[in-house]
Amino acid sequence: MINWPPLEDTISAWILASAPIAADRLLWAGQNAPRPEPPYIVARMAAVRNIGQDWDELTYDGLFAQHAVHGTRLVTLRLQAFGGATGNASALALLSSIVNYQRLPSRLAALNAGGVGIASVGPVQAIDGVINSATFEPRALLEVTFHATSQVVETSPFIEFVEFERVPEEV
Amino acid sequence: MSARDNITSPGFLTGTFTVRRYAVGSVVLGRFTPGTNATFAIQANVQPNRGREIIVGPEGQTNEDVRVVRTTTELRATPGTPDEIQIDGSWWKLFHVETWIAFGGTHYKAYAARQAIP
Repeated sequence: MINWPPLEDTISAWILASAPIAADRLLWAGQNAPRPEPPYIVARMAAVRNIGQDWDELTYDGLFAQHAVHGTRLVTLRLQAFGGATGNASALALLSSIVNYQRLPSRLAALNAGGVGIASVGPVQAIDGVINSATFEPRALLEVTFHATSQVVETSPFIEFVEFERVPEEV
Repeated sequence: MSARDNITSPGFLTGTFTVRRYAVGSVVLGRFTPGTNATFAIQANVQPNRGREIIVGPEGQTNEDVRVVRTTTELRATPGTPDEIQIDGSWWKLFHVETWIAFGGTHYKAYAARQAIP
């Protein structure tokens, strides 16, 4: 399985390091949280798929064998920004900022430390809308795909060797 | 007699109910944590809105139920952490509150949705 909490934390820190928003203006989607004051960003893990075949690893420890299956996953992260119309805090600028900063060594190092490798960064698109019937709200969308690893393990009893002993038959 | 007096009259009240109200929550690394909650009692008239209905889906069957709460105590449908009211032993979330400033006083008409599954 993918260990999601540290992965989410790594992604959150990566977003907050690049987008000029307050720390409490980043939200993972689907939590039934109240909508913050703009500018803010909502993140969502939108898709997960396999890359190639998973591979096995067998280790033995006396009485038990541990069978691990490792795999690489391509995860789609969908970011939606809600912000102003102009300036560095506009919805478009917030997500562009993430794109612009992504190759800096410090950003890459933080992602690598969290087991995340950026695969592709999509275009930033304006998807404006209307809120509260009378207010135009600039919004923007960005999809980022990244590599993550999965590991599942099961342990089973292990018979290392079998010794046969022949008992002589009685005459 | 005002509408407020009607609501508080013994013949109209259906009981005393516990309401749970949350403090402002916090967000850390994108994760929302609701604030602590406090409870208080209200006197209210609680009636069914549409009755309990079975919703049939391929994932299973569940119940939807909405009750209408009329009270003179302020109720809040706060985004993220709306007030919850205990009815028939389970907690119902308020998703629609009407503030009526009329008929000789202020009273509140709220819609509460049952949260238990099924």
